[in-house]
Amino acid sequence: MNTINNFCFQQLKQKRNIYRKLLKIIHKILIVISVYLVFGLLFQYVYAEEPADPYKSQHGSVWLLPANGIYLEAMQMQTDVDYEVTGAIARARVKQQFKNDSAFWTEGIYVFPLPENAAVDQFKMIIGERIIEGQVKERVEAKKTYENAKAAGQRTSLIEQQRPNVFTTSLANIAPGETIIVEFEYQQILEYRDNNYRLRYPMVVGPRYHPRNYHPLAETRMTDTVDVTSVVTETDLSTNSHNPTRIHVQLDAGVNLAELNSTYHEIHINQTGETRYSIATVGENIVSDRDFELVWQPELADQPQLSLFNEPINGDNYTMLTLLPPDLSYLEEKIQSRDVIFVLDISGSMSGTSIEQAKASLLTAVDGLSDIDRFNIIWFNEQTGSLFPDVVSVSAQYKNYAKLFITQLQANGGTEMLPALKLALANQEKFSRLRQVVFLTDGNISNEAELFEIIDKQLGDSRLFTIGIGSAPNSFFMRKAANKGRGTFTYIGNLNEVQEKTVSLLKKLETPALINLQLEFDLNNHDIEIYPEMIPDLYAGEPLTILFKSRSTPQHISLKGDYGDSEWQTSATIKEASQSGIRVAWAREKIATLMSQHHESDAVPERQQVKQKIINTAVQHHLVSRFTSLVAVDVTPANDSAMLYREHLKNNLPHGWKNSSPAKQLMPAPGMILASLQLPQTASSSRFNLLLAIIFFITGLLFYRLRSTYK
Amino acid sequence: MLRYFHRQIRNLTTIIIVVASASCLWQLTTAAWIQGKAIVAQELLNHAWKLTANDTQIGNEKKHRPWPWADTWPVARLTAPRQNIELIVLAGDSGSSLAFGPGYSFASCPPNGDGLTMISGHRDTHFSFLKELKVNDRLYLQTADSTIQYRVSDFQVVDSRTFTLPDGADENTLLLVTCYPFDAITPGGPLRYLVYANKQLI
Repeated sequence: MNTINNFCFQQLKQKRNIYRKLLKIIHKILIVISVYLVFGLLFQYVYAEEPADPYKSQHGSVWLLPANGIYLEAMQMQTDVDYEVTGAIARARVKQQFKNDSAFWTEGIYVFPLPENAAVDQFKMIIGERIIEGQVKERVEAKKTYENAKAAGQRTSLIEQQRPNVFTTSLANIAPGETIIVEFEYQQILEYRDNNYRLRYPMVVGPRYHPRNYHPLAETRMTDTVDVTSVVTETDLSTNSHNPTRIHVQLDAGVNLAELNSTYHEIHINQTGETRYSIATVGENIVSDRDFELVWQPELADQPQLSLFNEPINGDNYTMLTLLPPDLSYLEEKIQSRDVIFVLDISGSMSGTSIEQAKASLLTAVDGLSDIDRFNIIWFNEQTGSLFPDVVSVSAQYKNYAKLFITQLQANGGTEMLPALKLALANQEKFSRLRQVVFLTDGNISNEAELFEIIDKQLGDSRLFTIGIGSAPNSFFMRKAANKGRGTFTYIGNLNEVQEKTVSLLKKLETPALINLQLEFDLNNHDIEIYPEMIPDLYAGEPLTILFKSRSTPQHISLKGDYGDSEWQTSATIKEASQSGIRVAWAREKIATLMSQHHESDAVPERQQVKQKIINTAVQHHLVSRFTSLVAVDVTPANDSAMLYREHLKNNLPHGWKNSSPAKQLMPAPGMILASLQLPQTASSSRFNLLLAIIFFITGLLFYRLRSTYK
Repeated sequence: MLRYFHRQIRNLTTIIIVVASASCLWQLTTAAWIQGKAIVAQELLNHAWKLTANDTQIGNEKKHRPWPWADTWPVARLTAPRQNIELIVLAGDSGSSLAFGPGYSFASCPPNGDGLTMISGHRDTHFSFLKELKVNDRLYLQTADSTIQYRVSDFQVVDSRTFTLPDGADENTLLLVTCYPFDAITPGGPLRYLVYANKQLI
């Protein structure tokens, strides 16, 4: 009996021992796991640091690409910019010298921003005595030409458009110690804002990152064994804080100037004629921690001013028509009272940051309404409702009420946009007030065709402005809706831009000067190709530029529109003198229009057709576009050790680093298109939750043990 | 004195234990909720998808919402035969639809094999199978009225902040997107894993 008891006890003890051991082991395992996870988490944060990426550099820097897809930033030697400005057209010649400071043959990539509407049409590569002119080719073909020349050891250069305002130049087979000059020319129609023309040369160098995975050992197979680490020291960031630049501007304003200033830099001004000036930056070089900006103010009249420029080339005639808005101080008496209707999407797809952005925009918008306006807010998910039964006059009380209403809105439910759109376009009183519909949505809809039909049918005198919210709005729908609605599309990619973009849109909407514009010629309409195809409204502080091509020179042009409550009409005749650059400006505008069409067409054959049209236009007018590039090849082979060189260059750009665009560059200029396909957020926090659960579990366990020791 | 001290420590540890267990439970529930939602939703979606397919057969195109307040509806069924995966693809790739299933981006072409179709999914639920895909694996995208066969052609890891489509990728391609790295613990990273698949003629 005793033995049995003893045996049982022994067994029990053994079992308990085993349990205890097992518990200990489990305990240890859990601790190891948690330590691993915690460190893994820390590691993730610490090493989330960015590798060097030339496509993130904001401005002109050459990246040498020696091996393994690692970028080094080379020193930029000198930049010279020469501008010739006539009226609203600026032509720039930018000359940049670069030196290959490394001790090996190399390939360089050069990233630079230009104004959104810049048309790059001339490109040269100068190596010593040799000048190689760039040729326009279809993008893919140009790339092929470049790659072939690179493989053959020839010096070659390629200029490509990545985004409307970001270009890259690639240079291959640069000898050690060699200096290369890149010279390109571009033309732009100047920005005109708040009664000022602005000429801006972007110079700000963006954030820079240290190459994280830089391994000197990886380069020991170079043509010449050198201490590669010295390259890094030489291209130390401190040398790049200076970007020596000289800028020279020849300005022919065409009208008398009220003011001429440089915003950030000291300049010399020399008046060389009645409306002519010569401007240069002071000193050999300017330190460029800010963009160069030249601002001048033409004397404004009390009426919109129409000016015409003309350029006959090869039997064709290109005309630019600029309509300057009247001075605001004259306009205020004639200011139009408006009905502003905000339409807000509060469906489930908007939940998260999207609805926060939309609400922030709307709050800013309501704040900015003036007392003579009337407004209403319409919301929709699978239901539709409005804040007020009809538009109400703006008052402090209604504004506060509206803001309170906006703050408590929450996103959920389905998306039924049709009733909301119908409601927004309903109840239009004829000819009384200007009606602006501002639509905030992510465009998560499936019945686009139906919606377009409603816009076509019911738009009347309303104007439809769309604001795209979130990381991946259906920009196809919103852009086309805005086009049909004779308004604009604004894309807001992140919360920081809400204020800025909403305010600038609303400011513009506040003061429409001329609406329903119509153009009349003394020409046969069949011969005329005009861009933009539908003439937009004229807003205060923003001139209107219309470009057209015709067979013969038009003698007389007249414009008609509604100005306040009255009708307005003006006419002008073409001056004798012809101005260069109109043809390029026209071609650039045509490409911009075609790019819109390309983005709006959802069938492949149609898209192909438009793409071909863009290529044809760009090649004919020698322009860089999304589908065409400039390529230059020096036929004399330069790099004899091409075999070795190629071996090290087989790693091209890391996959995916094809472009440079912080979200703010996604805001397209009117009529401009970006082939943007934003990738959504595709991970949930479930694993993180699980990790936290384990950590809490272990904490609990540890304290449980601690507790038992204090009996 | 020592006893008092010990009691205080015991009280303190008790509080910590209670808080830790509660937090542990809460986190576990959240994790289970996310995973559970992903699984249950696919069942409801299957049902809605069957209704949609039936309707289309009798020539009546209608969106069937999987549950009345859903802001999305099934548009296609994605099959990866080698991985034994069958998923209902939803309309839209906002966070609210991706919680329930992979979503088709409205910014891309509709899933009819006529252009580039982009479908995104969570790396820790529906699209965790992407890492097992190999070149030449078959994928089927079944819409209400047709089935398109794709073959996996390429993989890419990209930074979503700077991504644009490579040239020529816009023709008859299926693009599957999920977050990268696959085993990262926290969400919200900038990297994405892309799978390109080309349309095959059956």
